[in-house]
Amino acid sequence: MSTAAAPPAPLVREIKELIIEALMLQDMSPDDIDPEAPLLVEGLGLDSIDVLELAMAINKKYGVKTKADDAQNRHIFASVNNLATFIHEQQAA
Amino acid sequence: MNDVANGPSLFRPVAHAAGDLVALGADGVRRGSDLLRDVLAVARRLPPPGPGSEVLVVCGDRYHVAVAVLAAWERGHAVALPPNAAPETVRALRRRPGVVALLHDTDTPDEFDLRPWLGDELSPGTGPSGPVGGADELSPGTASANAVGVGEELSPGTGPAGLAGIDGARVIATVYTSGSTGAHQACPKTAAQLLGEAATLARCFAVTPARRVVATVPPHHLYGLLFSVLMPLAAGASFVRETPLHAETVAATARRHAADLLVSVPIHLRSLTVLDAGELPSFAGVFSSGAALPSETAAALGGLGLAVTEIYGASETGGIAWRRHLPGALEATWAALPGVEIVADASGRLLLRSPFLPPDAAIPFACEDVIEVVEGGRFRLLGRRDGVLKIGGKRVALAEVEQRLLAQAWLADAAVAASAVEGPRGQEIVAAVVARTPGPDAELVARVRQGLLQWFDPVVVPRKIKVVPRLPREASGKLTRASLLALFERPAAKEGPPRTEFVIREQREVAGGHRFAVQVPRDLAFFRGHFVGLPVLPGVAQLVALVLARARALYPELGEPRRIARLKFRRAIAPGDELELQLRLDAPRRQLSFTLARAGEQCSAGVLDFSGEFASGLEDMSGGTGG
Repeated sequence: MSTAAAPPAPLVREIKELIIEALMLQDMSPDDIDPEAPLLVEGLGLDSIDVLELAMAINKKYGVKTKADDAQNRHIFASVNNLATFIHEQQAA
Repeated sequence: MNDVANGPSLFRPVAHAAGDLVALGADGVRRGSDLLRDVLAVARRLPPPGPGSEVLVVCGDRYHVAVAVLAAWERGHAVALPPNAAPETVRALRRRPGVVALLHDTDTPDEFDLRPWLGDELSPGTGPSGPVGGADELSPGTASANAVGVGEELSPGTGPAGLAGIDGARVIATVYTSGSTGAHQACPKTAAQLLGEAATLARCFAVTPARRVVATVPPHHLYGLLFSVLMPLAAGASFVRETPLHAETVAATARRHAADLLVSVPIHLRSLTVLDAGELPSFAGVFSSGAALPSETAAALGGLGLAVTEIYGASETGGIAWRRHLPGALEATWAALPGVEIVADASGRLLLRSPFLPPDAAIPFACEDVIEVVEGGRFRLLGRRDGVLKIGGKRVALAEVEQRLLAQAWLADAAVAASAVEGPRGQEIVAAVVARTPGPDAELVARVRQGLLQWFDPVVVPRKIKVVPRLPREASGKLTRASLLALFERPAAKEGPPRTEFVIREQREVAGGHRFAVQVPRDLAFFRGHFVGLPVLPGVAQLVALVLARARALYPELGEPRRIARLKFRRAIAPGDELELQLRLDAPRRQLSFTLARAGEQCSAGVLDFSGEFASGLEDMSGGTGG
């Protein structure tokens, strides 16, 4: 996964909004989510079920599917920026 | 199972010959001869068994679970499988009396890593340093009469089917419930329960040696252990070592290893529905357990050509029943597993006779579920016993409301719960629904209500209906009442006047006193300002607003209490708790004893003395906050 180019800012914001909506984090605003912070445990505290839910929401919105390797998927879902980079690359492909 | 004439039943956990496939995965293929070699190697390093000795098994790789568990049994120990691998959980369980060793395959670099002892593993550390648990090397003759003893040399071509049979009455494992109350409950299992069920499942679902199991659930809960490790072992079949999570990974892993049985839970199965037909291999069987499979998921999987077999059971009872949803034909009724007998008592409560129940369980075992037996011995599951309530004099089962919601094709998911309210209703039903296609909330709510009014009296139709993007289900798919009700909590600014009364759901006269079913309202005034973020009910509120209020209503002649004795606050009481209050009057002494319990566990107790022989007043009551 290339992280050379930063993902487009509007996409990052859109993904934050998607996370808040899909995971019912009503108390949060997009600005509360640090795009570099870990989404799992230490950061937003998402669990594996949240990740599956998010994967479904992303599939629905962007038509993008996750990888066939859970180690790669852990990297993709590690932060908002990783997620945005992945979606951006998939859409460009 | 193998019955020995006039002797105890012996259970053989493994059916594999030396060359039979046991496990497949990125870390390699393992066959019967590998398994036997590794089991004996690990067993040799375990300390000698003692009464109630346990080996803690914390392994993620299914092959390691199989090796660790079989080695512990071979050595004469039971195993304990922690409910999760969190360091705190494992630390707490290590302190359990009887735990003599730990076997793990985590990245913690210590002497309990079992991988260095296995034949084909690349040892990540410095290699084996000696026996675990600080015990002596096994001396010959200490093991029980084994077919293939841990002290013996292996002859070439020996398979693990030659491992010793285990007496059915021997306790061989402790598994933990995930627990809808949040607490993990320990469930000890005998060989007859655990291995008997594994063999029964293998027969019931015709698991042949050629079958390969892949599971999305970890192998440490009862369901995962049985279906993804013990059932394939009992059947002579094989399993995939890893636990894939994402839909694409599940598909790729299953393809790579030609797995044809999928063991999963509703919430994982739901995520598979993003795949297109043909992306998943054509599984011969898909198992689902842990929570009800939403009909939407079953239908979507049917669209992918998958038939899902649902398993109904619990950690405490083992498997009870099963049903299979064929593509395009959802099955509404359940069939008991072989050897399991099911009847309903007059109230519909499920009475269970099963070889998978603990030896000391009451027979028949009364479950907390309500069923309706239909033709052919099959039954319909109507929901939890505590899910039947009366609203405005109308009896309604929460499960029925939920089923009617789920039957509305345009809803993806739905759940209901009862909640205490002020006024003559006493309680109300709240419903949270997930719509498949978005729309204005008010319209969706009106549509839900209209749908329910076709089946129910308006009194019992949920007054509060909330449209949410998804329900707060747990990893297992379980949805707790508390997390559902939390969706309906009013923001602090809009809170109404606080309540000061408890909800009395039921009152019964029992020998020497009265028994009450009590609900603690979530907005009870006594929670205000009390331990912000951790609301507990102060002891004085329990005494005055609950115990004394009931006592005054029942026995006005007693007057005011003079003294309180033997006052104990053992467990904290939280908003939303369902309690049982017992009052017993010793009339000649004018003493009223009370106990307040939740799910059979005492929260508080004491004796109110109305005799007037002591004049110390009520100052004793200020002690304790209930927490």
